[in-house]
Amino acid sequence: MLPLLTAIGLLSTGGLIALVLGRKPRAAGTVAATACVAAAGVALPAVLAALAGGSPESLVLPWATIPGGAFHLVLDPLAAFFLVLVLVIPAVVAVPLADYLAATKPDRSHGLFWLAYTLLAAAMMVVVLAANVLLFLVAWEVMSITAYILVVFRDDRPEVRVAGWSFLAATHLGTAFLLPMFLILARGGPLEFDVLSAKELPTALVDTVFLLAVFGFGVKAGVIPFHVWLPTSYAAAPGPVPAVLSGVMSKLGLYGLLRVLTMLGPPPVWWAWVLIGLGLLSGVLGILNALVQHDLKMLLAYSSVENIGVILLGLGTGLLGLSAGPDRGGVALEALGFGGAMLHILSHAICKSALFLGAGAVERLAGHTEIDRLGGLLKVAPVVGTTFVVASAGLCGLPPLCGFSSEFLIFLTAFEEEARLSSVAMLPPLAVVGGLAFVGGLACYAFAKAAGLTFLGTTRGPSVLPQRLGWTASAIFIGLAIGCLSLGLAAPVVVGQLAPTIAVATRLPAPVVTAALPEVTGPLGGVTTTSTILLGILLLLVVVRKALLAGRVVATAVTWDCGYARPAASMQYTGSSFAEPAASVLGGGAGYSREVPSEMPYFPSEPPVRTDAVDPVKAVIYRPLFNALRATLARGRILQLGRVHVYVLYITLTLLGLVVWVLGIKG
Amino acid sequence: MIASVCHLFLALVGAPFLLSVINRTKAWIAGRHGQPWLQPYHDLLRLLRKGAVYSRTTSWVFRAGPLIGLAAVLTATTLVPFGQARALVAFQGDFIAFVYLLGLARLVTVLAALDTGSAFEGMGANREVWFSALTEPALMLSLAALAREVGGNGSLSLSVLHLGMSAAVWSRTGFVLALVAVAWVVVLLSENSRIPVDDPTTHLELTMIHEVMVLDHSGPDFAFILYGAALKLWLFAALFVGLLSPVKTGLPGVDSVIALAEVMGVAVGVGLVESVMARLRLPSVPQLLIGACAISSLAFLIERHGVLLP
Amino acid sequence: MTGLLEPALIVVILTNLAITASSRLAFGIRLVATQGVVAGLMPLVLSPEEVTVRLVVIGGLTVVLKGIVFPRLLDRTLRQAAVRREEDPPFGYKASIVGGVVTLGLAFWLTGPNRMPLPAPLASPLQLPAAVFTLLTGLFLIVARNNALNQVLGYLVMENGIFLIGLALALEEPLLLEMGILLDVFFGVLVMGVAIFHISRAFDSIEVDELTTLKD
Repeated sequence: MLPLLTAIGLLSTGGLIALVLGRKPRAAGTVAATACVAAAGVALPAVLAALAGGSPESLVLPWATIPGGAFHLVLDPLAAFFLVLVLVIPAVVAVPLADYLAATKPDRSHGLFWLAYTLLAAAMMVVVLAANVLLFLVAWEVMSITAYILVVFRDDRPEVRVAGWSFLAATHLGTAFLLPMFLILARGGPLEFDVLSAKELPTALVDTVFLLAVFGFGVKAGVIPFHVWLPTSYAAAPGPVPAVLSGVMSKLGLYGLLRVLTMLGPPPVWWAWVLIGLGLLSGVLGILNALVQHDLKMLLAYSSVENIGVILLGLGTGLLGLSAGPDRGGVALEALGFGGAMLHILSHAICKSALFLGAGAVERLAGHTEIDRLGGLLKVAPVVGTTFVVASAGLCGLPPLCGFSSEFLIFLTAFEEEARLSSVAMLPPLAVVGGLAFVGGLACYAFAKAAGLTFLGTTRGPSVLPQRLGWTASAIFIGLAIGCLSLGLAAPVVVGQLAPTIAVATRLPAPVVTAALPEVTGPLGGVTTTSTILLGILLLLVVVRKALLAGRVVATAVTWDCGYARPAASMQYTGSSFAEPAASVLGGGAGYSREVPSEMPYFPSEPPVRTDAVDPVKAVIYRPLFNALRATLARGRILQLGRVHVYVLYITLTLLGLVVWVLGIKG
Repeated sequence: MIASVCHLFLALVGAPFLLSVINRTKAWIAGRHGQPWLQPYHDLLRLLRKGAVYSRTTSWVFRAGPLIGLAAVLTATTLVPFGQARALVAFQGDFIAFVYLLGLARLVTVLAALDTGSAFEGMGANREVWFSALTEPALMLSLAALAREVGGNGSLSLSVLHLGMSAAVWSRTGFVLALVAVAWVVVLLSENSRIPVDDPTTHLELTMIHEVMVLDHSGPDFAFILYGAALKLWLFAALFVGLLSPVKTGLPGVDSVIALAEVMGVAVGVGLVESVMARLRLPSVPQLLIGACAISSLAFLIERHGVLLP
Repeated sequence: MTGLLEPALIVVILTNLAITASSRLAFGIRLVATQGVVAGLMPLVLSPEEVTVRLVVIGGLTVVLKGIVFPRLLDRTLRQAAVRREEDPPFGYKASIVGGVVTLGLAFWLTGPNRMPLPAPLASPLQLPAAVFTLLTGLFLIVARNNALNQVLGYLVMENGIFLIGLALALEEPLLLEMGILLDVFFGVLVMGVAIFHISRAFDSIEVDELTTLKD
């Protein structure tokens, strides 16, 4: 536990020093980045050791000023798994982020930003380690507020301010669901996690707790329909900051859900259906919305929503497996599903961080992230572009990269279930199979748009000058790309290491999970074999082509394009045209609208066709709801006359009334 | 093991032959003599002997596209069983890897097309990616139906499913398998860019999907692409006959010959379809593909242990 | 000095009535000052035997603050705002006198026998009603007057009333608390004076009625 406390201390100190150095952006950034890396270095060995199992370490310090509170930290395999993300990702993102801030030079003090960054990392550590309800909620709140500070850093723009408001409102709405949930579980007893449980609670209350957990933590994770804060906040946050928000903070919502699930008893089947339903909804709507976005960061944000949906599908099918019964391999199914979900958490964290770092680099190079005005950036920034393409392929779930291994496990779970279960029970896994395949296909579509139109071809807007990427930043990009590939190849080993984590999450005894593990690592081994064969053949083909072309004429020319000798950049497909076939059919699910003038001019100088995408959940659910609320409450406006003495009159009358009532009538 | 390696070589060598079968069938229906039987091999060798021209707009993605695509299809070949022999590589859930390897090939082709900065290739990329997003669920669902019907005790490997198919299974669940077969036919035609989804002989770029994506490749790269397409057709045909054909005698050599004949039969069938039908209007293609998805799902709902029938 | 208690209380009641009836602001300031001084000297009147240092200090401070400093501050504000009297209050002056009497009756009723629990018997039956009446008058002034300066006066009257209630209920406040309250009031008046000046400069008027845009 000491290394972890040291890490928290390092982060806080680093942040405070950065605050003092605020006026010198380079210095502040370097200090904060060093603090993050140092914290990761100090704490990771202990965390990895805890991941391997064994009895959990704990630390209890009393907290006098708050009744019921205690500084109670517990490091068990589940916490260790998420701690890996919390420690590594902020450290990895910090250096390119420092570069970005120093280059774009926003003219305000960076001190508060870096303090918020390090405090965010520290708060996330405490959230994962906390074993006391009040400590958890305090850390949760600190996490939300520091994330808010990061999001609204460029508050000179109005859309950033609006995004910040919606972020705050959403996160507090979510936390509002968490409080009653914890209170029900505690039932007046001590507020420690190891004591909270749902034993002897009536089923209705247990179900309520589950639903409260899903809503409360779902807001943070970004599950549809609670995701409306996510896209605008990620787009508003400067540069690569969303890498931390998406890669780690959203996952802590899933951590909360998993932790609460461990406190509840054996889950009834319909809980799995709820998770599967939400997973499908988030996956399909998420990727549809991603497809029609004009802004690269909004696209990546909606892709995060989709991936959270996929992770939920893994958790749901895992839970469903349990209901198949132990004799029909229920344990193996649960391990498969949960293993797939955890592996996907890891692969999404790596790939999404790489993608958002790439988006940050794009923002730095071109000044904006509108896909319709970008293009050809691979030649301007080769390292960034290559990493972006590789990470995109990873998130599409293509072998030999990491995304495939995790989606493979989730598919396998669903296939096994639909093959074994009978009648109506087979329908959810079937929906998972069809839905996941559809989501995967659309993900390829969306990322072909994101990677292809931004980095390939020629630029659709003003040309972009190359900027040298620092050594550290280049190393980080390349490292992430390699990590993406390695995780895919090493998946069987990694999942094997996750057995204790799965045991904690599913409340099964560790030996049982380890015994069922070959059913997971066996097929994954087959995947690794396939990937190795793929890489081997690829290498062979490279050699073959080199040999074939040696000594022959290899020329370069302008793009042949079937004989059209004068290609222009404006002839290329734009983001909207690329997404148009799907959007015109499925666009309803993405709030897609297209404006075509009734009379088209012959040689338009301005593009007459406009496409727009409004978040459908926001438009269909939240806006009407809040408008109705506002209309109802506006009726109370007559009381608000704006005159101070009238307000004092209201107060006086109330007081007098009370006094008269107490003294006169009650006697 | 030896049988598997032999079948692998058979696939590698015989794949371009399928293209000539299709072309000869179409020629025969049209009353022409048709191209020589070994024409595709001549084309490939010719291309392999050429140099290459690369567009200045492109980057390493364009040069890597054909290589990764062919590597993916070749890897997928090791997963497909034939005759009585199992595939070289078989494991629980290998068909998922099969589908996604083909997805990898598709994505790199699309990215290579976008890399040229050309309007035509962007158009092809666009359509390809959209149609495949609709085809993948159909493919997965039909595999799921097969897994349920044939792989009774929860085995999910192509090799096992392939061996599990027999006339007995057809008599038991014929209707379901017929539906799956219909969905498979649509998927085969769509994934291999055949009529009614795409016309391989059109000269108009605006009507192309697959051909227009590879316009700028030349020399060995183009050879790899053509060969990869032929191999992909072979794999789909082999899976089609392997998983759905009831004709199995249980004798290794005889079964391989029968499978080969059936694969050629599929090629003839494709040629017939291409001669008889015209290509669908592009906006109608999604309807066809969604129909295939619906048929695959329907296969579930009416099977014996399913929802509708008791 | 016990004999001075009842006259002092009657002075307090009369000043309350006079403030509600008067429209001239300078006069109102004098009235509030008088009331403040009388209230400040009340502890000395109440317990003449135990004239402790504490009582003298507090009494002296109160007299200085409420009798000299506040009137000076408010007079200066009055001069800078260049206002003489409030012409048209929401609750007219004639009606205010009636209202004042009604409030007095209400104060007597509220503090009637067996109604309000008291920790110790009162030195005079007028004490508590006068105190509550002062409090209510202060509130009334805030509600029923438009002029910002009048509202400051109402605030001061209210504070006097609270002080008198505390005395009547024989609350033993520590020295620090009483000093704190005085400091509070001092700064309150200071800030309000500055605010009124700025309001009058910005809006050319210190009628609170005009300051309604706050509601949006």
